[in-house]
Amino acid sequence: MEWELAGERGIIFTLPGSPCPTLTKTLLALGESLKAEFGGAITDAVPGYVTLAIFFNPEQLNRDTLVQSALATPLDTDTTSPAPPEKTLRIPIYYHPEVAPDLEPTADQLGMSVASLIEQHSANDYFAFANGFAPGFCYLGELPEALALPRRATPRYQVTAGSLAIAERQTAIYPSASPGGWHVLGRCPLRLFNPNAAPVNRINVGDWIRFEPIDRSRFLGLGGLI
Amino acid sequence: MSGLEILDAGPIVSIQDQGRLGCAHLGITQSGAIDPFAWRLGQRLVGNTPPEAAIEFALGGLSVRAHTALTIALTGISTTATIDDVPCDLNRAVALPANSILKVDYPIRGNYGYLAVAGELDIAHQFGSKASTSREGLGLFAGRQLRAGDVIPVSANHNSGLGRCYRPPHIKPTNVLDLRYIPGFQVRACAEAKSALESRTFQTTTSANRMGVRLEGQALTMNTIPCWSEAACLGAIQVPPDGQPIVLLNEYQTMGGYPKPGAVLSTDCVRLAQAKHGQRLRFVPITPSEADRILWLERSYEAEQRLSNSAR
Repeated sequence: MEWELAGERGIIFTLPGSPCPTLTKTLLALGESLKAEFGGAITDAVPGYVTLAIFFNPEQLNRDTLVQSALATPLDTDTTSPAPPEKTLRIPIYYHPEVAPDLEPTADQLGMSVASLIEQHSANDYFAFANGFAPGFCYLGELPEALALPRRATPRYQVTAGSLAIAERQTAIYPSASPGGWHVLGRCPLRLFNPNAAPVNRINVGDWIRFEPIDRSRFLGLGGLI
Repeated sequence: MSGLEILDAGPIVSIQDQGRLGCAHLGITQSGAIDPFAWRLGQRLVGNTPPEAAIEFALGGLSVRAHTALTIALTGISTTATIDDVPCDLNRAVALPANSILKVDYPIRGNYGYLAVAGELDIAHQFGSKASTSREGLGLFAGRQLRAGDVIPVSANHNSGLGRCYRPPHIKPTNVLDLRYIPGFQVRACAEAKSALESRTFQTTTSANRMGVRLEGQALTMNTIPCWSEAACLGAIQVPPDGQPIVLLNEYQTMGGYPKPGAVLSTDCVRLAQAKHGQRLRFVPITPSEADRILWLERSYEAEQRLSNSAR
């Protein structure tokens, strides 16, 4: 495991290898272990695809002590037998050009029919690797190789809230309107971030997700906006 | 309950306080006052202990009417201000009588100003803070920028020390601002970019807001090692493909995939945010121990900050 400084109150640890569910579970476990050991001196543990950033109070916790402890933590990095999803969250998606400007162009670019694109996107279980960019936004992967495309050359100024999009080997839902460079294939009618709910985010790191294609009337019935 | 009504405001006006540390794992950004020193000073001047949320305003003046008598203080910027057309001091707890109008002009020095009110702003805490973050919908009026017609609900405290004031030390404007930074993140993969970063000067641009400040200078190349998205932090120096660095400020996106040679010290993030566009600057590396020491010295300095009571 490598580590680097992340500003005056952060250390970022990197595990070797490519993103995978076992690696994420290892990162989450490391975060829990350090929080258990150092209590309130640790203010946040933020997992990335292959990293864990630990933010702490340098007045309460010595930087070297934190690093040494992390490096000494036994890590289960066995990726040979990935655990099957314990629980899969089903997320409804209305896949249709009226809510997804990139659905047809993406199908063209990938050399497949729209129906095939929808089928391939929704037939896959996705793992939630990291929360970020905005609350409610969770990076999900891995997108099947046949659907991989680089980000749009020019990001869209405004992507509608609830938009389901893809880029490279990732997929995600934009929880609120924002600029975005991913290819929009559909829209989710459900709220992804609710500060008054528990949990606050519908999708959390470590979850497994499956997208369920729904029709227009179900989309509207679930609160979707066109 | 009384209120403070916004009559006129520039483009960046919101409620801010210490922000939300510890929520980045949920994708919720730190937010909070861009200049926490100025914010805390204003709170001490009006006698709010612990510090309460304040109105932060930038890139424009501010004009408000007090619905009932309030005690207020203005900090963070150098400018002129009046209460019912009578000149009003900055860095001082002053009386804002019922129905009077406070007008703050466009800043002469600094960008982010703070209007402290003695008492409490009647705004719900979300994740431990009253700070507004518009893109997350957190804060008063779902975090959107404040505008004319808005009334900030206040429970005023009338036992605050009117006349309490502070004389800030005179800081000469500097030709080249030093931004002390802690090398880290992807620095080991790009020795060339690190030395380029430290040997060149850059300039601030008008592409600056609470999310960050875009700098202009000779393009940096950070051997674009494809970066898996990872946590960012306040002050992180992002280098996008065009090589023009961006220093992240309080509303930074919690995760990012651009390479970073390190992060600017929090104190110098404030200096950067308060600098006018076109300010020349350079990056100066420091060790984490040096960072700890600087921050400790600053906390001591702030704890010993002397406020005077003068009759004026």
